[in-house]
Amino acid sequence: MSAIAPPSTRPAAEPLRPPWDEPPRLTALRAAGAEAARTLPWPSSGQGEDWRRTPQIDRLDLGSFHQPEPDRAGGGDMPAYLAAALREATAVSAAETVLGDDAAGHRGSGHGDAWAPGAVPLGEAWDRLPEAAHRLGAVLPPSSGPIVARNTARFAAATVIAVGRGDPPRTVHLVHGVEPGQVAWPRTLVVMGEGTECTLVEEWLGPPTPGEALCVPVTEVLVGPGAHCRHVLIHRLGPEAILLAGCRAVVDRDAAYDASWVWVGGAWGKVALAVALQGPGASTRLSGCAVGRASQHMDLQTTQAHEAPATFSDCLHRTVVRDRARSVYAGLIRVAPAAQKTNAYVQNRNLLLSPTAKADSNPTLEILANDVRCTHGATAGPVDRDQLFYCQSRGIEPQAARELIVGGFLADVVGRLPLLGLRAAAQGWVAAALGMGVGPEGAGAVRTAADAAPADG
Amino acid sequence: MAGAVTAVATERLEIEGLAVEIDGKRILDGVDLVVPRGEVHALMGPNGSGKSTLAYTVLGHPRYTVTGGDCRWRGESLLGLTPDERARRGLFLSLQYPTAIPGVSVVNFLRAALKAQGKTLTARELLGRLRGEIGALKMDDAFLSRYINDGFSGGEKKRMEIVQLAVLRPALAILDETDSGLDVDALRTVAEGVNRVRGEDMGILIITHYQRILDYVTPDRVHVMAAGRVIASGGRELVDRIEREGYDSLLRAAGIEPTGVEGTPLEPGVEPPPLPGDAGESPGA
Ligand SMILES: Nc1ncnc2c1ncn2[C@@H]1O[C@H](COP(=O)(O)OP(=O)(O)O)[C@@H](O)[C@H]1O
Ligand SMILES: [Mg+2]
Repeated sequence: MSAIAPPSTRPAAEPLRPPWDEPPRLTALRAAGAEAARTLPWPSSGQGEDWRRTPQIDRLDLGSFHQPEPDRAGGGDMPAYLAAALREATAVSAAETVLGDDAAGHRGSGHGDAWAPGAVPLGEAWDRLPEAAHRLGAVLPPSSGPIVARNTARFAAATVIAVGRGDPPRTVHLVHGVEPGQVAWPRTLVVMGEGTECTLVEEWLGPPTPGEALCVPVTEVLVGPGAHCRHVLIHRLGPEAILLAGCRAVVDRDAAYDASWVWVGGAWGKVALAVALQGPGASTRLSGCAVGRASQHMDLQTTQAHEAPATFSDCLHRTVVRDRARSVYAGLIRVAPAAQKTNAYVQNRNLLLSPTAKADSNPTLEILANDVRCTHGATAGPVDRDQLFYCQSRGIEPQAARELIVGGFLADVVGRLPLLGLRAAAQGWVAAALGMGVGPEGAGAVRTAADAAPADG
Repeated sequence: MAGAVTAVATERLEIEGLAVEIDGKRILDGVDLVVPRGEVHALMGPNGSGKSTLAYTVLGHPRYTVTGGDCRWRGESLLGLTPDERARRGLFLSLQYPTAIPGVSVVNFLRAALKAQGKTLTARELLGRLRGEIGALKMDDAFLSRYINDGFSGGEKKRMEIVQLAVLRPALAILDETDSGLDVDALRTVAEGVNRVRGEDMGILIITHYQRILDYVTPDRVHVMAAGRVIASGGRELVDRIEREGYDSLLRAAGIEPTGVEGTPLEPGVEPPPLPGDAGESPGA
C-alpha cells in the first residue's frame, strides 16, 4: 500500500480548458486546483483513519475514466435519461427550477428555457452574480483535499445558486448525470443572503446503461445570518458507479443548515459532509439513510464543527444493509474553545438484514470547551426478535413484519425530507433498494391529518 | 360419540402436560389447562410462577422451547406453527410489556394485522373503527398516528392492547397482566373494554396478579399457577380465598414452599421490571 498515487491518476489533475472564455479568476482557481492535486497525496486506505475501511480507493484508477469534451450550454443534446430525470424531479420536488448538468456541461431546465433568477451556470453567474460567483472555492478551497482539488481543476458545468436578501424562498432541484466509462465533476455553489430561505435537492444519477462511471461532486454552501438552507442529497447512481462527494456548509449567526440524504445507489462511495457553525446561534440538523444490498459499500463521514457559542447540531444516520453490503460511518463533533453553550448530538443506527452484511460506526467527540452538552451513540443489529414476535402475534407474516419494522426504522429520517413529494419518492427508492414491498407509510398506507406534518425529533 | 367429542374439542384451547425451557432452564413443568371459547378464565399465581411463559409459549415466541406435552386449539396442535399462523387461527396475546415499534404508526400496524387476517377494510372503515375503539378506551385520536407503543406510558400501552383486542376480535385471547400498572379509573376502562368484547365468540384467559380486575370481569373459572404448574382450579371463591390468605396455603397444599415476598399480590400501580432477556422495554427506555 503505497502512499503515492499510481501515475494513472494524474491525467485528471490537469486544469480543464473549456472552449468558452473563462474569467482570469476562474482560470487561476483551476490552476490552483491542479497544483493542489499534484501536491496533495491521493487518499489511500493505509494512510490514517479516513479511508481505512474503504480500501476500494486503492484500486481506483482515475485515468480509466474519460471526461468528454466540454460543450456549450444548451439543452439540445441532453441525454434522454437526464431529460426523463428532470421531468421526474420537477414532479417530485415541485421545484421552481430543475437543472441538469453532466460531465460534458450539458444543461437544461425542466421548465423549458427559463432560468430561475438565482440558479445559473457559473459562466453566466460571473457576469450577473459576480459577488456570489467570486465565492467559488471560499468554502472548499483547493487545499481542502485531493478530491476537492481535482474537482476544482476539472469541473465543466458548475451551478451558482444565489439568494439575495429580500428574495422569495427558492427551491432548486439539480440533477447530475454520468455516462458509462466517464467521470463527472459537478460543482455547486450556494450563497444565501441574510434572512433568506432555500431548498436545494442534488440528485446523482446514471449511467443509463451498464458500465462503470465515476461521479465526484463538490458543493459549497454559505448560509448568511438568519438564513435557512435545506439541502437534500440523493444518491441513485447505477450499480457499477462510484461516488466521491464532498460538501461543506458555513453557517452564520442565527442561521440554520439542514441536510438530509437518501443513499441507495452505486457500487461503492464515500460522502464527506461538513458543517461549520461559525456564528452564534447557528444550528444544523443532519439526517439521512443509506440502504445497501449485494456488495454495495457506503461510507459516510460527517463533521459538526462548532466554532461559535450557543450553537446546535444534531446528526442522525440510519442504515439498512443486506446481502454482503457494508456501511461505514464516521461522525465527528468538534467543539472549539470559543463554542460555549453548545448542544451537539450524533447518532448512527444500523440494521443488518443478513449475517454477511456489515456496519462500522465511529461517532467521535473532540471537545475543547467546558460548558457544552454533547452525546453520541451507535447501534447495530438484526431486526429485533421481540418486534418481530409482536407483529406476528397479530397475524402478520414474518416477511411483511420485517418490511414493516424496516420501514419504521427509516420512517423518521425519510420523514425529515423537506418536500412531501420527495418523501413519497424516497419511500419507493428505499423499498426498491431493499427488494421489499413498500414500507408502512408507502403506497396504500393510511394517512391521518397528523401524518402530513413534518416529523420532528 | 367420537364426533361429539371432536365438536367440543374444536372450540377450546387445551394445554396438556406442557413443559417449557428457556436456555436449558425448565420453567413450565407440566401445565394442564383448558379454556373453551365463550368462557372467561382467570390465571393467578405468584410472581415468577410461569404465567407469562405460558402465554408466550401458547403464541409461539421463539425464546421458549417446548420439551413435553402439547397445546391444541380447535383440536390442532399449535406446536409446529409460527406465531403468525397461530394468530391467524384466532389467537391473541395482550403482552405484559407491549413492544414498541418506532416508525410504525398504530393505524398502519393494525391495517397490516387486519390485512394479514384477511379482514381488508377501506381506509375510511379502518379509521372509523379505530377511532371508535380508541375513544372507548378513553384515549385521544392522536394515538392513531403515533408510533405503536413508542413513548407510551405503561397504562397507555395496556389500553392499546385492548384497542387491538377489540379491533382484531380473536377467538381466544390471553391477557397477560393487562391490569397491572393501572390506576383505578384506567383499570375500570380496561375491564369495560374486556366486557364489551366478551361473549360466545371469544374465550379469554386473564392472567392477573391482583384480583381487582376480577371484580369487574367475572371469571367463569379460576386457576392458580405456581412453580410452573397449575396447582388449583375452581370458581370465583378461589379468588376470595387468595385475597384473604395470599397464596401460601395453596402453595403448601401443593407441596411448594412459599418464598414469602412472592406470595403477596402486588398493589395496583406497581409494575415489576421486565425480566432479563425480556425485550419488552421498560418505561423510559
Ligand atoms: N428470558 C428469560 N431467561 C431466563 N429466565 C426467565 C426468562 N423469562 C422468564 N424466566 C424465568 O421463568 C420463571 C417464570 O417467569 P414468568 O413466566 O415471567 O413468570 P410470571 O409471569 O408468572 O411472573 C421465572 O423464574 C423467571 O425468572
Ligand atoms: Mg408475567
